Amino acid sequence: MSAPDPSAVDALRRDVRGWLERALDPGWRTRMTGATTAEFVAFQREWMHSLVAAGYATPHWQAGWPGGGRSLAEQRVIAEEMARADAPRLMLYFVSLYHAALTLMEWGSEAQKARHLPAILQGEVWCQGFSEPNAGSDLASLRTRAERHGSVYRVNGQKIWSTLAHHADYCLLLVRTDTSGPKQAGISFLLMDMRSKGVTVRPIRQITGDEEFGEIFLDDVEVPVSNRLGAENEGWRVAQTTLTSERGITILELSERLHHARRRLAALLAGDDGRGGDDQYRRELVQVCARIEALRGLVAELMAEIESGQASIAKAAFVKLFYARVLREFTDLALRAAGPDAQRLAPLVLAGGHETGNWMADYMNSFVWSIAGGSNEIQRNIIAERVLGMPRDAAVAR
Amino acid sequence: MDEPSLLDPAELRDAARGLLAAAEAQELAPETLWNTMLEAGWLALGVSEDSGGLGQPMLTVAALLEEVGRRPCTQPLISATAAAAMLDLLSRQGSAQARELLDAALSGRARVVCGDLDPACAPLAGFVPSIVLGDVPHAAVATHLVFAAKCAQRGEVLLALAGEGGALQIEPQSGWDETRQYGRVVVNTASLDAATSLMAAAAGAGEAIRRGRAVLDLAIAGDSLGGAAAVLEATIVYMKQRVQFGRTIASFQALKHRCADLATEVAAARAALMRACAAMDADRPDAPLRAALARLAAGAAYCAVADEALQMHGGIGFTWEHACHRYLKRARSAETIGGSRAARLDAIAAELLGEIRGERILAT
Repeated sequence: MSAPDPSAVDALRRDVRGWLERALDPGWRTRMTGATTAEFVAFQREWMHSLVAAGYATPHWQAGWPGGGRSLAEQRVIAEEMARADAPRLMLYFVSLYHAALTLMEWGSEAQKARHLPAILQGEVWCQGFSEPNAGSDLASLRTRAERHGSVYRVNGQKIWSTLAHHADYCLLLVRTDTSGPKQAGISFLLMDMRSKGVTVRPIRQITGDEEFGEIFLDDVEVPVSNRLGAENEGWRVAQTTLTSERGITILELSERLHHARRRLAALLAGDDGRGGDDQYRRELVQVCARIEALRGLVAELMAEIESGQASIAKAAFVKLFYARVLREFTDLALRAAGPDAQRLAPLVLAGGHETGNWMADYMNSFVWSIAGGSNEIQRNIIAERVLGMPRDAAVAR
Repeated sequence: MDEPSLLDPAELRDAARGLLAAAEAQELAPETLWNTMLEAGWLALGVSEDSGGLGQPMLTVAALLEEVGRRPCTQPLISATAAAAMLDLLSRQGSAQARELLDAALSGRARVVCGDLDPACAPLAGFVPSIVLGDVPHAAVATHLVFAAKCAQRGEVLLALAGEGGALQIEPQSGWDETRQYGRVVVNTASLDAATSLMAAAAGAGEAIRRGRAVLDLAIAGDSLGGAAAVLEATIVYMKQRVQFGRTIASFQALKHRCADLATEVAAARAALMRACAAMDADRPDAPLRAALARLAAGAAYCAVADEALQMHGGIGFTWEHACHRYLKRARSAETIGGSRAARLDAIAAELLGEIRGERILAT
């Protein structure tokens, strides 16, 4: 990664902005409102191919790969411009482009990288098989078993909360290969073909009616030993790469989207019919905007830490917890201000982000952020114990 | 003129911490402490070099106020800093009167604090015999008051009045927060001498008032975050020592999570303050709005931390001897400076909605 040259970064911003004006269908939200699964997948594929062709899908990849080798400052500019243009989120390929690609780049053999990285650029869809029904916040207690039989692992168990698993070609799978030692020590990391015999995927219907997550049932699934990433029983370390692969860019984009979405909220509060146009809601809007500013400030501090190679546990936990809160406050205000209109069942805006204007759905979706990716409670434990130095609870097994 | 050499905010904070600790140990009289602060350059810090100050950026000024805010401080540094910012601006625009008063303030010959900076509240017309500015922080120890008003002939005006006799009557008030030294201020408009008291009128006054309000917001935010951070740290130290049911109360998750939430609020509000100061230092037109938003975040964080700190200390926190109540009172009184929170929110809403409407339209 080369040091960012300010004029080059400005030039990139102009390029991305100009490209978005040409490449982005301004009516995409209308197209994705109440879209079928097939229409969603087709649109994601189309947007993915446009971004890959323009070189904007993979700025975080290593130099040498198409679109790769961008500095963090450049990655940030691309994310900011996507948020500013209100572009669709590339949800179907998120795990592929970040989790799978970056884990493969760090831990993959040459053969594994050659097999998968070009395929990801072509649109190979990946999902993550980490969480289990009894291993959520306490991920290391996972129990999906992999037993070695010659050149294959035979895998049995169940995974859950796997984003868009029902569309996936491959899975980043954490399995238990040893039960004798500490729970983190007996985990291995496999790359599993989702079309293998014994894999059953069942989408989970969420409170919004959408099916973004899935369950994966594994019944004597055979995964070649050559599809293991890293050494046997070293999977926990590999998984740390996966879990930290986003490097702040996602939260940057989301906080910028929240900033731009103030306009959608302000328009609601100043509705022509007078609805929501009262002083109390306007005062609440000001308070939410003050918190969005604080969020953007925190995210800027996180990015600066990452850029200088000194990312702290504190900042990442503060940002995760604070974003979840502000998003809840934002959608909660919109929901209350919209009144009975927001109670009418309305179609979802697929890949439309977290502030789509379907305020009841947006409010419900805000729980994804307070639960997934280390719940608010886990973030609070991290802050209390690792930042504030408060003692661990002696009764909790680690 | 050359760019002033920049002080390191961290070094400044260390020095300030040392100075305040020494002052406390020596039990310095309030007047002596104020002079010590002036000698250390604390009021001159953000004043431009052209006007006889140290020309440091707002980021550095906020860092100092954060440090000072760690112990509820009886000195009028917040208010005097905002007043000095206005006089500095007017002095650079050529007002000899402003320069003279600023020199007096920096040298300690005068103690100049801010009155109301919301001119809508103080219509100044010939037929109104007097106006009540209400309880003004530090007016009881001020020699001069700088405040905004509106008058029929000149529109928005910025006035500076001496506290001794004349047009100004200041009656000291006791407040729950003993650090603010409130004075009830009455302006006798009949004896107001425009030649000596008028600092600026019309557009010039508007610009100075806007800057004064922004600096006041940032100064209060800095002080609030210093107070919030200090009382939260002290609370956690206490919780790590206090043993109940055979373990320190700091190990109870119900309390840990509350501390984590508070630490998050303080970190976020601090980030907002840093952004707002940077906007101010870059002279961005949206800086006053950013400052007002930063103050909202800091004020809410200070109130939340002070409230929870008292609760988590339990009975000891309810005693006069313990410092908890000083933070609680200061956090609450800070929220009322320059008008109620609701009034501030309404004022910000108009500006904010203007900014938001000016942005490009989102896809539908």
